Amino acid sequence: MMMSPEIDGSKSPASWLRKNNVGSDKIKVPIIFSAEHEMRVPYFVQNSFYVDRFPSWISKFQDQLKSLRNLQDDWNGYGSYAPNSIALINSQTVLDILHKMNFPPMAIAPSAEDGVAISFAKANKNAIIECYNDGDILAITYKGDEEPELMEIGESISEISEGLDRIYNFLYGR
Amino acid sequence: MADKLPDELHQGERLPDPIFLPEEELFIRFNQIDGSGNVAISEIRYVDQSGNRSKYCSRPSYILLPNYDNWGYGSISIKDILDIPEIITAKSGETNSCEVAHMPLTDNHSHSEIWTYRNGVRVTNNNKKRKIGLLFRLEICQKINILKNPENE
Repeated sequence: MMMSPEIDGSKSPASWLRKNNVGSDKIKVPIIFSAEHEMRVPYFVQNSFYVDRFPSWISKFQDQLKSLRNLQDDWNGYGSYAPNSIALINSQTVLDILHKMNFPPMAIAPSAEDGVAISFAKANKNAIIECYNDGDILAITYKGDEEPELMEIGESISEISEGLDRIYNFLYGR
Repeated sequence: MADKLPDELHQGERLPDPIFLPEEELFIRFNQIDGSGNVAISEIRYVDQSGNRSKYCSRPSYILLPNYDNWGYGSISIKDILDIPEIITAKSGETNSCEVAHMPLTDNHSHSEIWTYRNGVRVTNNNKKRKIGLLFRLEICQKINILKNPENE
């Protein structure tokens, strides 16, 4: 049975996976089921910031993220790998934080760079956060011909939250 | 979309043709667009992005063969591709360059790849810098002329 990442001191679920040599395999991501909502919720967030409130968009994106677990390598015919367990679990963390922020993305899709891409748009402003199979997380915000802003985001919950805050502020000018 | 590949895509006895003219185009397929109507960054690879070169692919829609019927596709000129490294170099401070290489496949003679270089060394999955890659991918996306949108809505 897998231990909670928080129990054995790992910084994040993805780092726990790597530490336990399960990073590149398509293992089953540890999950719980909420009987009330029939939604997948990673157990590592259930006691931290799980919000008992499910706007309609969260179900849609939960399903989209779940569907990526069945994607095959070379899904685009350009040789890209399907998202692995590390990318999926980091993306789930992103989605959980977005849920808490009530900040719906525009789309969740596989990335040609091997991982998961979560994109946002507001008027002519765009942002994308990519969770890669090797655990890296990067984001970029861009608007027309203006200089894009790049962000290297750590995989801890606080670092991902900070990155998403910056994306939100860019899009909504808070 | 017919299952049978057009004759012009079969390589046959033809050899690679390394000469690309600046006005030649590369056709690329994609399945997501961003909020501004451009190809989504997530659709483009930094390392060895593939496409069909127009010289050996008379119809852009052939990029959807054999089984990407619902995807979108677009074109980007070789000149626009080759201009990107200068933009990236100015932003990153590192010397970037790229070339388009003709890499025929037995069932797709027009298959070509965008090879990128940093400080003269070809970028691979093992030495890529993702931040520079993101800039490169963004530039590619913003220069692709979309000919058909994906049907994934």
